[in-house]
Amino acid sequence: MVTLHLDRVSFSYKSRQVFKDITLDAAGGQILSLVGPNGAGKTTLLKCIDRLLLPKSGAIRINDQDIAELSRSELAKQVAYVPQAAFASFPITVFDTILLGRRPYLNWKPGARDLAMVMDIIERMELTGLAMRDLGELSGGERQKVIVAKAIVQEPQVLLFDEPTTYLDLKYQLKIMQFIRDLVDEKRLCAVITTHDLNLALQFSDRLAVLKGGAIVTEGDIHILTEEVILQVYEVEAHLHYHQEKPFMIPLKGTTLRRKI
Amino acid sequence: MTEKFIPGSAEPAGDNRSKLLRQYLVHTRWKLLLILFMAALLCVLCIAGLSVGGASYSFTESWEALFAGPPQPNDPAPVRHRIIWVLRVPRVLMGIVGGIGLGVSGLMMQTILRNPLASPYTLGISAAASFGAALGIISKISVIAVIFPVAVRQDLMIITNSFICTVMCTFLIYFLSKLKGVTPETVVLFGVAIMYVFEAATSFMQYIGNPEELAELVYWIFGSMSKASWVKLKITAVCVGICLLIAYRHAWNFNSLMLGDESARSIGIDVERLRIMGLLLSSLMTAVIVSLLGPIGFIGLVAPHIGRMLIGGDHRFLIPITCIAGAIVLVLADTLSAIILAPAVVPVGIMTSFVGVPLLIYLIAKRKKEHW
Repeated sequence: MVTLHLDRVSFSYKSRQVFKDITLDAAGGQILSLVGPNGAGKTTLLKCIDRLLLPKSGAIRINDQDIAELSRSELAKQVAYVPQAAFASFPITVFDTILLGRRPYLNWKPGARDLAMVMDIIERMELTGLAMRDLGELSGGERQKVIVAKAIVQEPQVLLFDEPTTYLDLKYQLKIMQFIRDLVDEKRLCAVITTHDLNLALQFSDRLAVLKGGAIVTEGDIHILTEEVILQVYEVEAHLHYHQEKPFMIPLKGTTLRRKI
Repeated sequence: MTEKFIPGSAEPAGDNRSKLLRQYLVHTRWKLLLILFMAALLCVLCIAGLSVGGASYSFTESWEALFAGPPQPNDPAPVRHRIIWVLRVPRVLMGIVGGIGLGVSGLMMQTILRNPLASPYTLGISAAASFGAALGIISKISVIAVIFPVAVRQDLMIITNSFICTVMCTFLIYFLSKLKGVTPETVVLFGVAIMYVFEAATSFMQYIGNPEELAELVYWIFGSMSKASWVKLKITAVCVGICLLIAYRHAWNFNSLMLGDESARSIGIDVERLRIMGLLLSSLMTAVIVSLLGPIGFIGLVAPHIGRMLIGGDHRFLIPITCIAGAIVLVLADTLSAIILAPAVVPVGIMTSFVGVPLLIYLIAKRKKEHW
C-alpha cells in the first residue's frame, strides 16, 4: 500500500515564504483534505507533491523514495495532478484529452489496454455523448470531469486534486467526491485534495490538515475540525451539526468577520 | 458513477463501449482519408505547376516528360523535357519542401507558445532574414566574415547573412522569453517588436542604397521560387526532412502542451526541453528556407490553421496535414504567379498572401465551431 510522507517541507517565492516545515503523512486508501483560508499555501503544497514546484527544503517521499530522485516520467506513473481549471489552447477532443493521461505508458500507438481504460472511464463518468467533441465546447463542470478522467487513466498511486468541485453543481459535487472515494477504496490509492468546502471535506475525507499562514494549525481525523479551530482559522463562528455520526458545518450569522466590518 | 469500479478492468464490452470504439476508429480513419485526399490534391497541383510557365504544356505532356526521367547531356530529348526537368521540377519540389518546412515551423511555434498568431513572420524571423540580405546587398558586409576572416562570395553572402540573422533573432526571442514574468503570449509581442526593429533597419539600408542595390534587395524581399535549384533543393530537403522526423516523434508531447505547462509536466513531459527543441527546429527550417528563397510570408501562419480546421488538434495527424496544406498553398501560389502575368512570373511571396488569406477567411466563415 502506498505511503506519502512530507518531511519538513518549506517553499518560498524568492523572499516570500509560502509555507514552512510542513510534515504530513497519508497512506493508500485514504483521502487527505487540505483546508484553510485563501493564501494558506494549499495549492502550492499540492504542486510541490507533483514536483511542479520545487520545495526550498525538506523531502517528499512516496513509498520511502524521495520524489526528487525520480525522472519526470517515472513520477508521472506515481502521481497525477488535477488542476483547478484546464483550458486547451487549440481544439482537442475529449477522447484525446483523456488518452493523454496514458502518455507515461505510450510509445506511439495506443494499445488495446490504453483504449479500454479510456473508454471505461468515459462510460463511468457519463461522458460517452461528449467523447468526440472538443474540450473547449464543454461547460466548466464537464471539462473538470474530463481532467479528472485523464488523471485517473494515468494509473497513479497518489492523486492530487486542486479544488475538484469548483465548477460543479451540487449534484456533481457529491458525485465527483463519491467517485474519488470509491476510487481510493477500490484501488487503495492515496488522494490529497484542497478544498474550501468544509462539509464535503468532512463527509468524504479520512484525514484533514488545516493550514493557515503557511503552517499546519492542526491535523488528524475529521474530528479535529472543531468550532474553535474554524473560528481560529477562518475567523468565522460556526456550529457543527452531527448527522449519522458525521459532522456538518453551519456558518452562523453575526460572525467575527461581520463584527470587524 | 457512484457504483464501484476499477478503471481498465476486463469487463465485457457493452453496447456503449463498442459504439464509442467505433466512433473513435471512424474519427481516426476519417482523418487518414482526409490526409490522403489532400496529398492527392497536392499531386494534381504539382502537375499543374509543371505545366505552366514561359511555355505552357498540357497535363499529358508534362506527365510524359516527368515519367521520361531527367534527360542526359547528349540525350536528344524534346526541349519540353529539359524545361520541365531542369527548371520546373526543382521549382515545384522546392515549393513542396518549402511549404512543408514553413507550415510545420508555424505549427510548432503556435503550439509551443500556445498562441494562434505565432509564425516565422510574426516572431520577426522573416524580417531578420531580410535585414541579413540587406546587409549583404547594400553594405556588402558579411556577418560570417565579421566572425571568421574569410572572403565570402556575394550570392553566398546574402544566404549566410540571412541565415545567421534568422538564427540570432530566434535566440534573442528565446532569451527574452526567459525573462521574469514573460508568458507565451508576451513572446509574440516581443516578436512583433523585433519585427519592427528589423524592418526599420532594412528600411535604413534601402535609404542608403543605390537604385541597383535597392532593386536587388526589393526583389529578394519579395521571395521567389525562381531562386530554386537542385542544389538548394537538396540542402532544404535534408534539413526539413530531419527536423520534421524529430518533430513528428514528439507529436504526443506537443498534444500535451495544449493543456498547459503544468498539465504537461504532470504527465511526464520535460516542457522546457520540448520548448527549446521546438524553437530550434522551427527556426532552423525557417532559416534555411528563407535564406535560400527569400521571406515567403503567411504560410507559417495559415497552414497550421487550415490543418486544425480540417483535422483537429491531434499532432499525430495535424503535423502531416499541415505539411500538405503548406505545400499546397506554396505550390498553388507559385503556379498562379506563373499564370497571372504570363510570360512574366510574379514573385511567389506576393502570391502566398493572395492565395492564403481568402482560403483562411473562407474556412473561418464556414467553420461550425470555435478553434482558438
